[in-house]
Amino acid sequence: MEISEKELVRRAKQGDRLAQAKIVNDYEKMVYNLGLKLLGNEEKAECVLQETFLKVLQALPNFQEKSQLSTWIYRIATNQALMRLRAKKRQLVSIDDNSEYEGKGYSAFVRSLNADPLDDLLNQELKEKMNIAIDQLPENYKTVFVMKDIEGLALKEIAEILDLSLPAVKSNLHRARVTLRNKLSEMWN
Amino acid sequence: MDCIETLKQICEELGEDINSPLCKEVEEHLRNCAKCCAHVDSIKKVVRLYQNVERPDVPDAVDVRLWKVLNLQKPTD
Repeated sequence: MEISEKELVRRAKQGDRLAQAKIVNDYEKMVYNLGLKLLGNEEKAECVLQETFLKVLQALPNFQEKSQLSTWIYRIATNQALMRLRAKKRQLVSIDDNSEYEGKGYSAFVRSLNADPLDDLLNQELKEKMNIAIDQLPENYKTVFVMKDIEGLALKEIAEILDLSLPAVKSNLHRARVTLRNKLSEMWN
Repeated sequence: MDCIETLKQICEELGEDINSPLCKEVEEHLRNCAKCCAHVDSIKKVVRLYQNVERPDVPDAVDVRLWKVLNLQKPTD
């Protein structure tokens, strides 16, 4: 029989190993994919996965339940991933890089999208370019973009996880999308 | 591009109801501005590309190590 989240958390807090295992089982894919998309590296994603759940189990007794369990776990996972991301030498993208229509490859890129964008997903080269583009995003853009457009979280939940205002989340999301579009356009050239 | 869907998406991002004055203005502008339509269209397509990125399962070896580190038994259901 399915138990409520509240009951699951109550049992896990009391040290019920089955309840703790269910929490890990329910959220491990979410945490792994967040780490993978933010860090672009399987080994580091595994580190984030382990560190997150070690921390979740350790901090469970202090979980105040003011947010949903998923939001709380997401916040821990994001913090773990961002700590690693900040340690990683990365190529910064200017936040003013917002030229929207210029760029030599833009037309070719849009034509390719118009041609058959979903079929292009099968194209390994495109996947690699998409990964490179996302990897080069500034941290604040990347985090919001991954959470909203890849993981499908609600904007309000992202704001809560990242402790940002809703307008700030929306602004970062829009800038992330435009930057990605421009980067993919450049690479297409 | 489905204009109504696009407008809904824009308004959602703006935090506005689709019938709000701001969304009506956006709708009117989009109707007459090919440049903005192209911009919205290209952003929408980029988002669709990324939304179709696969979300892989945790690899078996990674999964085994996780449960070992946590000293927990993975549920079998």
